[in-house]
Amino acid sequence: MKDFKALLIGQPNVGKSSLLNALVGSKVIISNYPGTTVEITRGEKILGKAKITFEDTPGIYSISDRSEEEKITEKKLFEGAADGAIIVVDSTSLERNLYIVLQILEAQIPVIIALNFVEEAEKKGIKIDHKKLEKILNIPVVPINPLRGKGINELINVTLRVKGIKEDIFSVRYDDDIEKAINKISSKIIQTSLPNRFIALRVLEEDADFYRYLKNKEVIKATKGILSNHPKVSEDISITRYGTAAFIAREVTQIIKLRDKRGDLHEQFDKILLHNIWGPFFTILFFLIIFGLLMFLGNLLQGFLLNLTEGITSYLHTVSPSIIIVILAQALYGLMVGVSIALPYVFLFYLFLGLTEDVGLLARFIVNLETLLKKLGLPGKAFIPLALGLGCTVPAIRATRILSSRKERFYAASFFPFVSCSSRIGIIMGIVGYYGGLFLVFSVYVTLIISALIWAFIVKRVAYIENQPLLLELPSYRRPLMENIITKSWIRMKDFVYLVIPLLAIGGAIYAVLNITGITNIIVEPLSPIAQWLGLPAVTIIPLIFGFLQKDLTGAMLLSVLGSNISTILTPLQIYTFGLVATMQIPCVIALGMLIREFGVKKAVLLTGISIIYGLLFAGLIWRIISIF
Amino acid sequence: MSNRGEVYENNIMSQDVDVIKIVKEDILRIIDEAENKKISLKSIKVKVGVSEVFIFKAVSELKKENLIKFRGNFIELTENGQSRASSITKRHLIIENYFKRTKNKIKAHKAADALEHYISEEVANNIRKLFTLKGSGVPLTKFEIDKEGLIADIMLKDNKLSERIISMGIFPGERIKVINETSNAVIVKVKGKKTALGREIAKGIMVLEYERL
Ligand SMILES: Nc1nc2c(ncn2[C@@H]2O[C@H](COP(=O)(O)OP(=O)(O)OP(=O)(O)O)[C@@H](O)[C@H]2O)c(=O)[nH]1
Ligand SMILES: [Mg+2]
Repeated sequence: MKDFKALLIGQPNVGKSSLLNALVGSKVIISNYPGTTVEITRGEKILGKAKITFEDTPGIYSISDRSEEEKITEKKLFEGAADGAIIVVDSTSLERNLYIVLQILEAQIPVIIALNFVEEAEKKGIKIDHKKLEKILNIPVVPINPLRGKGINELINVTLRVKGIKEDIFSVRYDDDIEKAINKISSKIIQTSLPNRFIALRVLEEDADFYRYLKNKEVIKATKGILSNHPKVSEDISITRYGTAAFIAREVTQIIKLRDKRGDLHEQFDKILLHNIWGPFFTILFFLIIFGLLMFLGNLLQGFLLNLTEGITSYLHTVSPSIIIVILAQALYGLMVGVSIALPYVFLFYLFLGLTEDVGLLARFIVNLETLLKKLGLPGKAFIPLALGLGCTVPAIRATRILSSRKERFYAASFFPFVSCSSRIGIIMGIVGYYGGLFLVFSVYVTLIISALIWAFIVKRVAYIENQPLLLELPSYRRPLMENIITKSWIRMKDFVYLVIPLLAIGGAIYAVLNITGITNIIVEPLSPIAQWLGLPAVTIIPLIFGFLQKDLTGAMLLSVLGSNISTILTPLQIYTFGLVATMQIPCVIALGMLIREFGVKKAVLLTGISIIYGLLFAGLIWRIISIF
Repeated sequence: MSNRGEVYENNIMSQDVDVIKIVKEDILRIIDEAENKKISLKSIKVKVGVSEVFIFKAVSELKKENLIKFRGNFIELTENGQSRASSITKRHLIIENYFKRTKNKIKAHKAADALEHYISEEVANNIRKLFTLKGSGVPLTKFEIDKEGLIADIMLKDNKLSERIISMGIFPGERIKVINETSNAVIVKVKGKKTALGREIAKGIMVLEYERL
């Protein structure tokens, strides 16, 4: 039997990623806000001799992209040579979800409908006759619940039975004038794998991406005559399509009028949470509380882990000091200190982030902070990558795909030097806070915010960035599932475990070698003017350099070069300056790599270089200014 | 739309809808669409398909308001009537389309049998409501919080944006409620789903008050 490739398609936040995880085991992140997935993820299922490849895609409302992540899905659909699409459909808003189904059927792609949120719909008094839906559309419909694993096997079986597109599947009929125009354009289309009717419709809908399939553009003008009584053809097409979807939905839905008590309650929540004044207030308060908790719980955990580290490494010092032992001891020390400083904050932050996402708050925060972000020249949606950036800059750079233009994306990415990822939170709270106290932590954050404002002010002077208006579906409030939050935190922390932990050990060992061979001085010497500019001891250059490779190395290296009684070696001002200069930049080579992937080498290097210089300048200036007083 | 008459009569009994008002607007549109822009009373009766009592009442009211005039056996629009009719026709273009599609469907597909039935349901009622209410509504940004509204029109220049809005379920004839307003956005609820619309978008969504339904 031949291999089968099925795309998981659907509107945002309908459970595509949940379905992929149910089909092939946990692989991708699931969150309760539209726009979680911004890349294609493949999962394979082997059944005897057959192999089905499922591909999770970013959600799309319709075939008219407004951002990069949607383009990715469209490209997959029309150029990806898939054997079929499993369209995940939200039963609580069937008609809206059928819109994209009808549109994909127009492209003659074999479709299976996976009906999700069936129980939720029933709770609201909506009952869907999926057999009838199957009959009307003449495509398979399978009710599923990916969280409980219901309907998954049936979906796989149905997928295996799909063989190409059927002749008599449902297709939307437009009014006579539009149909005439479709025929006219259809006859002027170059040979492609896409059906002519579909291309003609896209052309009539004025989707410029499809003009390239036309033999000549004259035909567009020629159809104007036929469509003289359609001043807004493209809108009439969408409306007819939506009308048809609404009709089908109505045909297969039975509604028992229940009072939607939960919905009413949630509406009350939104009256407060999205209030013009209370909304932003609660949002900022919420983040303050999260950071307070991070600081408090993180320091507690860190103290415990550091004590453990001291215990173990002090034992190693009693062993006879051969070179090998010294290197190993340093590697172990680097590893354990690094883990103690970073892990508590990374882990706790992902827990908080997961909760915020899954309850449904994250999307609300976009609305609340939009006014603020607009002042910076950023669209409201930029809040998502920025919030994810508090976890890790790398996926956050990728998450800028939800924005509309490349310019907007790059500009949003240029704020990552000021948005401390959890590794940098580790430096701020685990070094600055642990050794210097709460006030210094506060000062570092305030300085980061001010420097970001200045950055925005400068950039806005030199570049014009147009922002798209806000258009955002607000997800329903949901009770978060602990299991999902833990799975998701694990996915997010995988890099930490597989990459950072070895790096910490290697970093420690390299430091030992540099020390023994005396190379440290060779490195530190020429760079000492930088340390001087920053008002820091020359050796702190070492943790800063290691820190550029990977931020989690910074803390470990600082303790390696200065020992663990930092508070007596550095003045509070020096701790503050170190914290600032160590955090205010593109955080690591991995982030640089991601920048290169998303924006190209030139822009990536430019941004990284500028961010380092900006950070150094800023930190050096600030401590001088403070010293005056 | 053979069951239109029925619908009207049902409406008198079940819902407090001003039938005369609907019939009047229907008549204006029918004359506007007729060949040479004139039509006999008989044809009106056939086309509108409600009982004579309603038609006579509607016609005499239209005459009184100086929107139509009699010329021999035919009825024509006055200048006022013409401008009124044009605006109705324009406003209805979208909905015309909605109905026209259903006619083709009957030929095209078995499933269409139920379409006529569908027309008499809520959405059709809502759509018809659009005929009867004055004006084309106010922009969403000017609409009162917590009042039920009916989406009358989507007037956005950007085609892709219009399609996006429609595919998110914000559709003419659909009920809409403004839950909250912030300085940058309007938060609406349509079919139980909430959406935040930037003011620039909200300005282009015309809404009518959904009274008495
Ligand atoms: N109650 C319930 N929740 C579900 C079900 N399926 C998915 N969810 C929830 O719906 C939300 C969205 O799920 P995802 O799988 O991330 O949705 P998606 O379609 O991949 O979303 P995007 O990637 O943003 O397009 C999450 O909070 C899930 O927990 C279900 O069957 N029942
Ligand atoms: Mg997803």
